[in-house]
Amino acid sequence: MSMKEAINKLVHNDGFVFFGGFGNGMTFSAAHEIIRQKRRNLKVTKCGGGIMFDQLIGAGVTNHIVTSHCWNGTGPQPAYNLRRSMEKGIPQKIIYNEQSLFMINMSFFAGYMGIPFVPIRSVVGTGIYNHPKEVGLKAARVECPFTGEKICVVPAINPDVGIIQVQRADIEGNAQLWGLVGDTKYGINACKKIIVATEEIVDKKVIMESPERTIVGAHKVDAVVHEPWGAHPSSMQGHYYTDLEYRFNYAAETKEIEDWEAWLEKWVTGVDNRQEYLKVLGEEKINFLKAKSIIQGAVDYGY
Amino acid sequence: MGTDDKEYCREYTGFEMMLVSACRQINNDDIVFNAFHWPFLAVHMAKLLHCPDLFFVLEVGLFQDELAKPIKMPYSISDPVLVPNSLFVGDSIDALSILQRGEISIALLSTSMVDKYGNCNTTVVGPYDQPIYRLPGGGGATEIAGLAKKLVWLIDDHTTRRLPEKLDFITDPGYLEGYDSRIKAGYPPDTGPDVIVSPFCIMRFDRVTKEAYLDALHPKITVKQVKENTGWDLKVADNIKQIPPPTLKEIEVCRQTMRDAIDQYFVLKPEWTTYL
Repeated sequence: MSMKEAINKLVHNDGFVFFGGFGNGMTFSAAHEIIRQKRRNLKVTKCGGGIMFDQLIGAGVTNHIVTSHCWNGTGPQPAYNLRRSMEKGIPQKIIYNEQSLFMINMSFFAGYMGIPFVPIRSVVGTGIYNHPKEVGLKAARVECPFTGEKICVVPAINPDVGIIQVQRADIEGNAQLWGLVGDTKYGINACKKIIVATEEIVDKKVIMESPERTIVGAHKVDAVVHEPWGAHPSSMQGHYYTDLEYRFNYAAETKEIEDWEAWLEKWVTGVDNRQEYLKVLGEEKINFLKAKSIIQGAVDYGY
Repeated sequence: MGTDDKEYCREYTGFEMMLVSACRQINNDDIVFNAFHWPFLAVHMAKLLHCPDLFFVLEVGLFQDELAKPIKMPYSISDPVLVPNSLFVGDSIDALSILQRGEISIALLSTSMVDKYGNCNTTVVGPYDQPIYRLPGGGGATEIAGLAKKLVWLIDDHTTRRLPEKLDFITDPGYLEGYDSRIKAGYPPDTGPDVIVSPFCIMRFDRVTKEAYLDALHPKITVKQVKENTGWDLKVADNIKQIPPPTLKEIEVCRQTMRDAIDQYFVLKPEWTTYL
């Protein structure tokens, strides 16, 4: 399936969408296709929104972000669309459902486990715990039934649809991700529908050679998209490195609204798909970012 | 450190002194939670200076005790260069659980604003609903501040705006309202901020009130200067300590680390990089 078909089929207005990737393997290609298809009023979640959420905010796709952090990590520099939205209501005022990194990870974990909440020893007394009531209860304190100790609990998050970018998957959707995973495994398995975008489509036998790398199984996957370089400008271990220059320049190129509109036209709305995006990126940059192969860690599975 | 290391640098910036002073807080047998962005520099420096065996944990779910070769500071906690040079790679929950189990002996965090009880704000300046300046949010800093045993705050500018008496929003918990309020909120009793390191000085926290006080001065800085640039009526230790300047070895490693950071697109203010 193409990314265009997958987004058209599975991501709908007013839906709740999870995006995978922590620095590595971020689902930029999917986010850009959602912008092109002009989805509106999406609630979106990932542990750190970064410049991907900044783009979804600026393009008017989302009015509600559920995340622990949203900034441009290169510099670090501000996420100007986030700032425009929250400070000036441009293009619209969004709800920032303030999370901490542990809260959101454990909420995904509760969703992954199929249970309503999990306890954590964090966030009580902070503004994250006390303040934004308009987004509903995000954490509470309960008494432990075994020890009587008062402990903070966070609710399960179960998004309508989740999207991940992985190194390899078979055509049925058995997907393998290695390197920096962050929140991706628990987040994606908490979702009701799943899109797997992959650098490579491989035979099922390749998956079975190292089954511990599988993060989601075919029984849960609704669409498999062969999407090389789908995580640019983030990295994909074994495939390509982070495009620091692009990410650094993004700040100056989106600081003013006119510049942001030009950026969006150049990289997102002015191209039809990831292949065309890569033409704009250019061969020289692609060659510069390509990973040098490091093959290691063959083990004996004998019995 | 051997006696050869005691030759001191004469000219350095306040930012360099802050990094060196923060780096000195770390011991070789610490288990450190390493966080973006200034702590990342300080921990890298410690590893190259007095902590060759240092074990560190990154919030993305990675544990490491050796630097990648050739040695260069990674651009961030999610640099893929870290992966084939690590001891363990898992999920964020793995990293945050090591923190929650109480196994982290020291953590360093940089902050944009810290108050007299060591609470920090990286969420919003001004009213929450009508922000003057929206900031990123806490990320993992909220639980690092909540659950690490010895927390070192790094603040790169010592002004009344950056060190106010009270914050608009508490993103990361210090001692909350002071006294035993942190314990009452359920945080483990052996956790909490240990020091605030600024370009001017090191502040520590009173055992009872949990209010930050001036404990030690960086060279050429006066008590008056610190008090005038702090947003509350800063108390001063009876026996105020003098912190030695960076040694030649420390400043060499510090400057190389700063050059690595600039190569990796970190934004360093011109006044911090005068001697690079």
